Amino acid sequence: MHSTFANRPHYIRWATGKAPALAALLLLLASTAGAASDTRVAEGKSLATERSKGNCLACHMIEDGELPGNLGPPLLAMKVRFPSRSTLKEQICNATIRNRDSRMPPFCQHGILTEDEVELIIDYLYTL
Amino acid sequence: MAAFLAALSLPCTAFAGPEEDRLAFVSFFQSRFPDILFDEFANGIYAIDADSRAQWLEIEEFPPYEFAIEHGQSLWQKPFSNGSAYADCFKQPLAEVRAAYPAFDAGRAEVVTLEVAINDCRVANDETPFAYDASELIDLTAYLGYTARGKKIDVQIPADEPGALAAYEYGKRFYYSKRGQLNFACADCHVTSVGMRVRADRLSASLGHPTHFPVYRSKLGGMISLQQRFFGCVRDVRARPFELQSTEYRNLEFFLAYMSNGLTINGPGARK
Amino acid sequence: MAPAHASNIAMTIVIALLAAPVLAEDIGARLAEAEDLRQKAAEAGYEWLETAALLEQAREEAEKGSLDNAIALIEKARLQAEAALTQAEREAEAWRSRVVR
Repeated sequence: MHSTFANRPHYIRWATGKAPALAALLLLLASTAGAASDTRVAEGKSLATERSKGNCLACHMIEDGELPGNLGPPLLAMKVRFPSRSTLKEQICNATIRNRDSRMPPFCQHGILTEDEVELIIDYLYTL
Repeated sequence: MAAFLAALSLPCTAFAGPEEDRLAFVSFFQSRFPDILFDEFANGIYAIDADSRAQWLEIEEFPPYEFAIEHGQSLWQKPFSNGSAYADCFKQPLAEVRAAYPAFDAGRAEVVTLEVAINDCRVANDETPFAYDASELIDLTAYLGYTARGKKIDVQIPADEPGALAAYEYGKRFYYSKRGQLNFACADCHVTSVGMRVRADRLSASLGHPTHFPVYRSKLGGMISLQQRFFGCVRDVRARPFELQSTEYRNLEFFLAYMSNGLTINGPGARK
Repeated sequence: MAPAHASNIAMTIVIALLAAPVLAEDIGARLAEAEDLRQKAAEAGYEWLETAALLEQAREEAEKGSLDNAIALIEKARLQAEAALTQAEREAEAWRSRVVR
């Protein structure tokens, strides 16, 4: 096996050896390309926290948020759990589409949050 | 064979009567909290939340509702201007007054709660009825709850009384229906999410809710009735609350009390 | 050119003057429509907490002449009442599946 590797062209050997580093670089590029501005994230965070707005902490644990509830799952690894932004948006805007009995308030459908506000919240959630 | 099985299962699926509902309700909470005895559910959130239970037991040593009981007692014993008294309206022994309500009154074709019965008694004796949030009325029910301690909740839905069943069904539907801008049903919090936390507060079980009202709420610094609690919950899910002692709340109380049949009356209570 | 330009301005003013009372009437109609929906939601037992207050604020804004504010508030109230009615329709059956069995 070792000899097979040695017989490959040098550029493949170089790339294979550096694969982890390359992957990390690509990931960094991808994440910075899709990352929201700090202001949007900050606005999203305050909307998520405000009791009269998202009030997410009432039911979800979020990083350092004080006195979180636990009716819903903790909000972490959101990009892994919701790779599709539109799926996450639908879950926040109107969770009853997927599940009529959902205990999550249909935030857009019921005018608790505007769609623009939900977009800001999603920018924040994707940093978690 | 299939037809026979279908016929057997029909009574359960097509028509679940109040007693089937109650047994299912009780076993839901018992399977959710297998270590908690049935009778314990009368203690509301303190049955299932060990952390706040110790604090509550301490409060119970010098109960904040004591003044309400004494006030209620003096109001109960004070004769009306016409010389008669509450005891002339409520013929049963004092300790049995509280457990007689809520009840379906066939003549009026509606649910009568203890509060409504007290006001009826006043009107019948040419006294002005209390507002349903008046502290005099709530203190009277605190006294009647206290004298009834140890008696069981025993709501009747007579088979020959279709109105009673209709009132029960109305209350049941109310209980399970989502309402308000937040889209919550009573059951969403007090069945499905029982024991879970909203912010720092754990959600209590509906089984046992009616046994301990009226309660002294530290947060509010005063006594509130069961229906004032309904009012607060409905407002919290951002629905427009109904009037105290409205048909909606009376029927809801009727349903909820029926679900707690067999639990011991332990009012008045103390709550955060 | 100059006279034509002046007449354009005059025309704009006339339109603006005509538009104002029409808009006020329009607000009356919008208010009535939203109020009607609120009452329907209330009759169904599904009125939301703030809808009546939003309409009351809208009336006050309209009386003050803040028509844009009034319209925004009416619109919010109307959406609430409509969503409450949709909720009522859905819950007419949806509650049954939640009954503890």
